[in-house]
Amino acid sequence: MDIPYTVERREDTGLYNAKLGVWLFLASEVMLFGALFSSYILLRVGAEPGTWPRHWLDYKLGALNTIVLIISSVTNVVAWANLKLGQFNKYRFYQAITIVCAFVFLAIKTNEYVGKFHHYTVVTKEGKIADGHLLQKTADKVVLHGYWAKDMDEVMDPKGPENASEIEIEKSDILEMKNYGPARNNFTGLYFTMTGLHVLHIIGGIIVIIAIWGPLSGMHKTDPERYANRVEVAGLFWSFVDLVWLFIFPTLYLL
Amino acid sequence: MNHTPEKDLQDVKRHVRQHLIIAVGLAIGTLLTVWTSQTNFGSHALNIAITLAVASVQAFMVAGFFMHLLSEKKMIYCFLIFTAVFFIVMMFIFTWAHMPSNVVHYRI
Repeated sequence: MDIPYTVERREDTGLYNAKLGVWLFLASEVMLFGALFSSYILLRVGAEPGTWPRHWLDYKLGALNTIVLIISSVTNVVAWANLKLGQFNKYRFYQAITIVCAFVFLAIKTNEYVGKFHHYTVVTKEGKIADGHLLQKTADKVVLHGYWAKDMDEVMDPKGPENASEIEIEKSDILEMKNYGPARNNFTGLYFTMTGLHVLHIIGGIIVIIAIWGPLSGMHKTDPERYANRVEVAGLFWSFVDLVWLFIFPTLYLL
Repeated sequence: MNHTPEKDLQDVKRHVRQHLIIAVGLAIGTLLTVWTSQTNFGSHALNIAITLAVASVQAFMVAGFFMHLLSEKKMIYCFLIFTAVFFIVMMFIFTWAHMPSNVVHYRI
């Protein structure tokens, strides 16, 4: 049985079915991410003064990831354009760059996540507050590379690592110890939810792009039009993932 | 319309050039976003507005050129208009529900 409208366009919509389907899917994605953005806005606007963290994320890494995604979007579109011209090798070359960029994005994101899970705030029984990256954790002591904060306000809006040094704290002196994981506060919860969902989309995109680029590329010889349509539809999804990141970056990293 | 392989090649080269220009624009936009977020425009609200405005221009460039939305079929515009309406309604409902006059406090 032949599936209709995989290549030719329907008269009523003017589109082939896969393109119609992916745009409907992207419309639902707008609502999914939109709900998270609206949650962010509400929680942030409703936060008591001094309780919403600032400068907790490295904006340089965020900007680098933005550039990486922009490059991947360009190579993706250029790959599709070359495929439409029948230049299959050029298509594969540019799409390979897209895939490499996607993995670079994931590597940078993983580095950020690991950093957050190793970053701790320790409150001692005397009321002193230490904040920094965990160097060592044994049965009787914790060693951080960080600083002693004057109060929790300084932790919520750190000025920089100028006075960072090695801090050793006896475990018996610790009242509370929390890392910068999703359970820390509303900001980290939303950060991990929004970027985590975005990362899942990146992984999904990588799987589809690699599948079309590699194992499914035989269709290029048997049905080149349909193959080009598959590449176009995957490219639409990839550009959407880029578009979402363009809002996540300023919202979480800069504002 | 008479399409020849040479004309197609020229069209694709033109599109590739256009996409490269858009990419440079997006990269500049990213740097501009960082700059606007760190510049004091007098109020934090203004900083947020300007930074998100730059991000919106970037999003328009991606949707318009990389996703070819500027030359898409009417059907897709219809979907997106519906999506925008539902999105605005969703934002309104959340905001409305959290207005102090609409928050209900239960005594358990």
